[in-house]
Amino acid sequence: MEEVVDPTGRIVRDQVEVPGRLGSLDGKRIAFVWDYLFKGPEMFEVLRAEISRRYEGVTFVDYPTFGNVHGSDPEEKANLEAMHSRLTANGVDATIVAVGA
Amino acid sequence: MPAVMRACAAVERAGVPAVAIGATSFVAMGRIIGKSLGIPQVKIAEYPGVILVDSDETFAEKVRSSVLPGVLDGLLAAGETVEQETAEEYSPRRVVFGGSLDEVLEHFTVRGWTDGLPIVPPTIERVERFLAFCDRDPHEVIGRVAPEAREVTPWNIAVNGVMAGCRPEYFPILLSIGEIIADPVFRIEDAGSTPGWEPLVVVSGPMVKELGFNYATGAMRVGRQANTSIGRFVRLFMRNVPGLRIPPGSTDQGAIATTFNVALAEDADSSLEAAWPTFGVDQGFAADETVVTLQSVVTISAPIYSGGPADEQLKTIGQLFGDAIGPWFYLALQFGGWHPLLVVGPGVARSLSEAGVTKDALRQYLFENVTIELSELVRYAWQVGSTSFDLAELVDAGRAPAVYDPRLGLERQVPLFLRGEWIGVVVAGHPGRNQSRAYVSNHGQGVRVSRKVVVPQGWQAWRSSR
Repeated sequence: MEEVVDPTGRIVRDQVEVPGRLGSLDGKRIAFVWDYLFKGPEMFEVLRAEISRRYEGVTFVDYPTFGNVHGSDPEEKANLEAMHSRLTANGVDATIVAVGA
Repeated sequence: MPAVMRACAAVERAGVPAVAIGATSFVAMGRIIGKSLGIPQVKIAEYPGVILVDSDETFAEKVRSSVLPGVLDGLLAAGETVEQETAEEYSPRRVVFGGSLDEVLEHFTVRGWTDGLPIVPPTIERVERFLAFCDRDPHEVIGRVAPEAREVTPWNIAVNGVMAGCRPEYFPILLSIGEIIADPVFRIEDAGSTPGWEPLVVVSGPMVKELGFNYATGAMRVGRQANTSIGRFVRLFMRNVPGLRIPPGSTDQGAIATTFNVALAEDADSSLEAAWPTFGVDQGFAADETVVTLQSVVTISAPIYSGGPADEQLKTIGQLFGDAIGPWFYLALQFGGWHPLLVVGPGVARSLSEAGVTKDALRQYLFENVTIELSELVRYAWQVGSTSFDLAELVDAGRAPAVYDPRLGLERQVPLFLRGEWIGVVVAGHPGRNQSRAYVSNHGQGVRVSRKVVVPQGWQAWRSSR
């Protein structure tokens, strides 16, 4: 008879206060944030055109404003730390983050 | 995917709703990371299929037909709330199962707690035998590791050491490995990335002999308990604590990947015989200290047989080392943290040393003479996924040396090692043959990190009792 213990460990998850989703994108300012992989700008270009076609007065903040957020990039940490101030400075209402693969 | 979810968390913490975009086969991974980061509500808009093999037309159509609806849903799902899932109860000393050996193996297999091989059942008694070699509080939190956001403690290090078939006296080594895995610099959270890199443990110093490591013939082959079980421990620990699991799990997305490496032990005697400082000393420690080093390995060279005059040997070592690295080197330019490792056979080390080749001279030779055509780096970068790889920008930002400036021409040879001093050199292997082998690191993920192994109280008594 073998009586065994759990090989994992205690999970301690971050707690984040959830911001509300938007009712409409009309007149909103949307940011693109990129990890500099997998054709992000090409993807953003299609999304920009399609969203602009569907919603009135929508504007965009492009990815260079936020820097590279790829985990191996030496500037990732600084870019994530600056995210709050950059979003605020640019009056961003919603953000599209790409591309995971 | 981990980077995208970390960025989403930064956005949501700023009070701005975010939506992630990921390829469909990475969505499950993204959801687990999202939970750990406290953003289970963030939706992931899916790109079906493989981005880089789709034509431009197919790509645009998939963005319109699949990604766009997901993006709109993620930003506009008004009023939707997702309850933060409660983490399952964990109590380190709680007996979670009792049964025969076969029943325990089945229980652990079903829960994904094994590497596919039978394990030694981690009973409290066995775990405590390991912790007899630990002077720290067994429940001290050493760190927290993603993707599952679990705490690393001496206790769960010992549990996985038991399971891997380690001996209790290996615990000081296991503890150092656990500390490195918990070190944010090492970036264990990215060990599930598609290159499928695997940590390599290098052990240098007195415990190599005290614990019976194999550093000679077949040094990297399974078959010696210390090397094998410690190598296996790393993989088991990565599954059970950070939570990196291949399917049916989803957090390890190594596309083809490699299996665990047995621990590499340094042949200090042969290194010193060649008047080469040991690898442990190279990492900044004293020769009488046991040092554990971890670094990523993403591929291994062909066997490098070198003979004849030193210049011929260096040429062969450089050629086969360079062949193993190839255009993968572009990632060193993009991300830094480039730590290729050369395991030099004892006879080769002695021969080179007799010809006046020091370790530094070997590194310098490789740095100055191993090259690749610059255009190969640019061509391959796009295919890996770095679709914005811009060498001119990296040069202008001071992140890549001027020699890599594409404005000087793409059809020219450039160095394949970023810095000579980043090349690790370890003496090990068959003492009667002229073989070396190179281990290629990933890049900023799994950078080389070393720790001095703390000798616990009672170690001398244990040695005397043997």
